Amino acid sequence: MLERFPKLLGSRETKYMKTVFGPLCAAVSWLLVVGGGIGFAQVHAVDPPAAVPVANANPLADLFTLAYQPQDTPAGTVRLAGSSTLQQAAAHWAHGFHRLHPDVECSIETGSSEAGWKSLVEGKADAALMSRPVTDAEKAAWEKQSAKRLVVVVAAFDRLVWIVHPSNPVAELSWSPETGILRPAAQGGVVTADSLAATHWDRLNGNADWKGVPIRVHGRALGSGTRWHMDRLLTGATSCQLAITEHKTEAELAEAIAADKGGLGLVGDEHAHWPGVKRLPLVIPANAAPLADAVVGSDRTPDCRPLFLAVAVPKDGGLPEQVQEFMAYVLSYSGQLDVAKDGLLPLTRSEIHAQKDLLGWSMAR
Amino acid sequence: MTSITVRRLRFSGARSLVSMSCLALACVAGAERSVAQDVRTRDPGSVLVGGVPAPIAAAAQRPAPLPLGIMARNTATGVEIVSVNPGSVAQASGLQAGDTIINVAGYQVGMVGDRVYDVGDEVARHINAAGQVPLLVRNGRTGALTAIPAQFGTASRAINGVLNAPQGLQVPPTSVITVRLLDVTEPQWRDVALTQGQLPVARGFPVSYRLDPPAASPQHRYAVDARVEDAGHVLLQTTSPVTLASLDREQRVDLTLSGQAAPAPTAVVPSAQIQQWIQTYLGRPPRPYETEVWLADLQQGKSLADVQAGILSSSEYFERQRSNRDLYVTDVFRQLYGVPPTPAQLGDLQARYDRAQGVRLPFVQQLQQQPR
Repeated sequence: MLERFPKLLGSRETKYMKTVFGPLCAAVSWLLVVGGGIGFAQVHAVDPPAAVPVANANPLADLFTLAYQPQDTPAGTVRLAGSSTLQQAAAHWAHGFHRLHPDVECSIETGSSEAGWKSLVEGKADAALMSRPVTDAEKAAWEKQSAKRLVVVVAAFDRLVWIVHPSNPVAELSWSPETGILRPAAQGGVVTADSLAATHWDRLNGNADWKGVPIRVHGRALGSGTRWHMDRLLTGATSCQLAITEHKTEAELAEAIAADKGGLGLVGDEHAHWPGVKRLPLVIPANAAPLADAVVGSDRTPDCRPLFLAVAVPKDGGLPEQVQEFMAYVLSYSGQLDVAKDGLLPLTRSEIHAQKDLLGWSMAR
Repeated sequence: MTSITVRRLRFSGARSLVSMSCLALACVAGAERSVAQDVRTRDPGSVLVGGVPAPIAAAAQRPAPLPLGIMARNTATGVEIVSVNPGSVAQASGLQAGDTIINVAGYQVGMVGDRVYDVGDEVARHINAAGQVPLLVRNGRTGALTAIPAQFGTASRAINGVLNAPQGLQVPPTSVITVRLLDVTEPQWRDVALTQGQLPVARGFPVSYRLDPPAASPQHRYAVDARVEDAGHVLLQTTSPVTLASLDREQRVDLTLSGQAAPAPTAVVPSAQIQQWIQTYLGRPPRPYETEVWLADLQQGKSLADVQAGILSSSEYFERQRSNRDLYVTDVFRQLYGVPPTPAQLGDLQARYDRAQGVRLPFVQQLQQQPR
């Protein structure tokens, strides 16, 4: 209700009323739901209580009616460049799209998000595959240099999982948006190892026997998307200088954790079954926003890493026809099926609609 | 940090606000009960068999969005109408470009907090048996809020029909019927399904079905096909899709299925094959819905060889080979041909991999097609 008529209230009033009445309305609604709504027909939650996620539910089942509907038969090329995390999804997109549009050739060049971004900036790619958000500095530079509008959409999510040595008694990791897992003493600025409240495992697992065991963090190389998210999950800070042992692959990282009693590492969900490691759930406060604030239309928890496609849209027109069709394919049931084939999480309906809005696509309804 | 959960509440105070605008709300008031009933009684999916939706369809499908006949975009205050199609429900309801649909039957639409609530979804969910759904609309010129009862034609656009199979044929009870509405404008689009529905085979044939088409392009050509599968193996199917003259009216299309009641004893069962590949190549059993994902890929016209290539080129398989080119190409070769490559073959594999610029899927597909 308060969100429904924001223009009727000033922004401060809206914020205040949301703060005060939002939870109040929710609480009243909850009471009414629980109590059967007797005597209070005026206020009630219409949405059913949030469904308890069904672990085995196929998230694609909700996307059947968002089928890819080709609008035309374009020709030309679609050049993709960027993060290797998205390589396989991109290869499936290219394969599926080419079957429907044989006159369009898709090329894929993978390495890093940085390389993809550079290719987009230089006009050598039509879409950059990014496993981290575009930084403010990159956006600012784009605004200065480019005559095109930058649009960054989420194409998939990757669930990240913390792993430790199997002998570690810790059962879960608590996380807060402000202090992450390792709880730096001061917020803001660059987080260093000296500022952390949790430097040894007894502070996290509560076991005095682990007092002498330092937390040794293992991660991917600086600049990788996984590392970007790991730094933020560890400390809540956007800039952190911790001593992190870097590994080239997730397999290497998992093996290092298996051999390190004090090890703590972050890997993609699809690699968390590695032998000799124990996976830990992250306890996330209710309503914590995704780490990347570029994600609109999404209520994912921060352990889900968004993976992006960045495109350059001419300000006086739309995307080239073949790129437009390609993006429509990615943001469809077929494109999201491709994502799931590589173990990534497909978008929800809400997320797909929001990405289409970002692209400025009017929807036929 | 203060975090607020923005819930979509249906707050009857909204009606007071509208009343303050001196607008009639008869269509909204008292609608709740009928809405709740409609949600239960309305076709939850796209296919009905014998008129009763089976659980799998109810779980897997949502109502196909009904076309209002607008081009629109989601905003934080609702769904802003960009244009209205001539002769559409929206035009008949008086909607104009610049208007904003704020809610559908009291349910907010557009961006609400961090989520998008699609107007098409909400219309499909809340339309009543008489084809009516109340919209709260902000007039683009005057800013006035108006409750508009959008009236959808009672003339259905549904595609109904009967699925027939050879007399006396009994397929396994685990079989699933899939009926698809296809865009067949171009030959290569033969597996582009606008909508589809799946149901288990209940009591044999004939069975009735119903598809509710989503918004469609008048320039495109459409067709319906059906198949019966068991564990991914196609037992029965229509010999070719039945082309439809248009999608703007209700029509009856009977479909005849042909094939065998059971696969040949030597036939590869796709689901079993996929599970075996996952176990062999990835060293673990399939995860929840992982096999379903690959079976869905088969339904999109891909082959079992495509599935095998997909698993062999997956990030997970590559990681198992330590993301190392030489280990990877060697193991892929061994998996496909049962023996490790000779030094000469290894050199060739490395060159092919490099030519593919390390993109694994085309590398594996090319290797599959090569005679040993």
